[in-house]
Amino acid sequence: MNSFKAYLLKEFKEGIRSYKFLIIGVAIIIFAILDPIMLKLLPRILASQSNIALPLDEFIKVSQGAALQNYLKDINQIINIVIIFSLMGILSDEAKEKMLVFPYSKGASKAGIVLGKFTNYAIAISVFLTFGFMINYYYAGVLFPDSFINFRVVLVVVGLSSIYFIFNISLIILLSSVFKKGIWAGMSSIGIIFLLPLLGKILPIKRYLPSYLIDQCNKILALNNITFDYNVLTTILGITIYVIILNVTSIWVMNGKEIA
Amino acid sequence: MIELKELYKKYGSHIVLNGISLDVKKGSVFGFLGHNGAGKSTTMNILTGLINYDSGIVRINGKDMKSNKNEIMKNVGYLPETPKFYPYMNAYEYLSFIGNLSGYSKKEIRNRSKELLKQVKLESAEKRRIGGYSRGMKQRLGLAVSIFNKPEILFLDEPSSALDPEGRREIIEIIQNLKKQDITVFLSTHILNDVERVCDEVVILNDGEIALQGKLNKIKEDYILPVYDIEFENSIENIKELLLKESWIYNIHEKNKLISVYVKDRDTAKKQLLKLVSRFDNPVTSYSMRKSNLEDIFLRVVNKNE
Ligand SMILES: Nc1ncnc2c1ncn2[C@@H]1O[C@H](COP(=O)(O)OP(=O)(O)O)[C@@H](O)[C@H]1O
Ligand SMILES: [Mg+2]
Repeated sequence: MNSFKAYLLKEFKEGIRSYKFLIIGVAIIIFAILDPIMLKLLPRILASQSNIALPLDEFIKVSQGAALQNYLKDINQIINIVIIFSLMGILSDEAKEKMLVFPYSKGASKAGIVLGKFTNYAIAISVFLTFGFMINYYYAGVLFPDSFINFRVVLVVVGLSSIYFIFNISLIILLSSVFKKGIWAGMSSIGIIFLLPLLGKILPIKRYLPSYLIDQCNKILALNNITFDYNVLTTILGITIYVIILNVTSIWVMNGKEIA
Repeated sequence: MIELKELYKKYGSHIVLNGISLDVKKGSVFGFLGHNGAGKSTTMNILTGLINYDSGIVRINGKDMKSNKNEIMKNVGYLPETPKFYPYMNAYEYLSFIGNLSGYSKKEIRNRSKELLKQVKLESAEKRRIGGYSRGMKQRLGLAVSIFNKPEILFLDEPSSALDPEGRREIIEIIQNLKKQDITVFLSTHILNDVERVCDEVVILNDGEIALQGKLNKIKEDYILPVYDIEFENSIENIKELLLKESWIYNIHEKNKLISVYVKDRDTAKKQLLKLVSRFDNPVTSYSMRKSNLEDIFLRVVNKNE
């Protein structure tokens, strides 16, 4: 517990002072603001480039819901990559730079270290996502006032996408404990996180995959109604189990690792 | 207090520690000598539970390392060769971090940190980023970290090697203080002067094996033999070979016109050496005898084993 608290505090400090929070936070918020603006300007840009005056506004019908879906897509792609690259060295760098020698020599618990790091970023990214979606919801509402999305739908989207990212964080932590160099942890995280959804296309396991939450977020935004294909709790339960397994494995790897 | 029996460690096919055994008594300052690559840091990393070993017995305070690692680590302090800190923290924050890890209360952390920062003379720098510290400041902060939780045994891996004479003196003074507090200190170094100032007992490690072990006083008595420094007028040619033919001379160092003759038998040397050198067709300009120091012993032991 001492190690957990010490590392939670240390990671929070590091998040601020090494600009990790700033990078992730700014990325999440910039897309939240710019996305709807781009969507608003896009038809005009297209129109100004074509000679025939097409009624483009009619073709590209953008609603608040569509704007939120677009933001969700960016979060799942660009923001995901930003997070992976910010966190890929979370354990590998500490081991490589011999930063763990003093803590280990004081008998720091590996579980405390891993869980402290995990908890810090799980909370931080959930908070950033909440802000991001609120801002995006607000701007999209201002720019596309014809159709409104139910606020409760957005809250569910925030919750589900946070859970999705919590899975990603524990995966990145595990890979960062395994690899000596952060870049390999980053590359393999990208590989797994973006290839895993394909598995759902081949095998009937779609609803046990973390990416299913993002699919369902898309769906409820499109319908403006909280209804799922399957019970989404099954997916959440599955992810909880995966996260526990990933974290326990990271702790096990750190326990066996020579850090001096 | 510290007990090692037949300790083996290898990296790949490279045997780094080839069956080391040693015994360190409570309250002593134990000097662990050996040149670079001898295996000093590896041994200390094993003794502090940071790396594993292939075979052998490691016992600290009578407890076996393999089965009591966490308990042992709580009573042990370690200052690694190159201490690393989170560079964005300041000294006070880092000590607080260590205090939090060890479960100290806020008040205890504050008092202990202030006390230690004063002891290692970092009070005026406590609010500055560690990333901007000099090597010597990091070493002193590392010492404060290593003794934060008042360990019974302290491992110091070349604590003064990277420091200037002033910094070295300060570290040695701190070690002398620790000795008064009955803390067992395991000190690795290649600076023999430091060893002579603080150590009670020494081990000389050479290529992963123990070359010599004993009380410093006893070693000095047994091993200290005179060294003769002889300077010639002209450059020296094949004098070394001729002298080495004598059975009572075991080593010669030559530098320009000066030779240092290491002898095994002080009585014979007293009688014979001057006669011997006067036979060369090369006038002697100076001839003096000095007692060999720990460095000579070290070189002698290490070379003998080669
Ligand atoms: N992690 C490692 N992997 C491979 N070889 C190592 C490792 N650590 C140390 N060695 C080797 O072990 C030997 C002893 O190293 P070390 O214990 O650092 O010596 P010392 O501290 O006495 O200078 C050296 O030859 C070094 O190259
Ligand atoms: Mg070393």
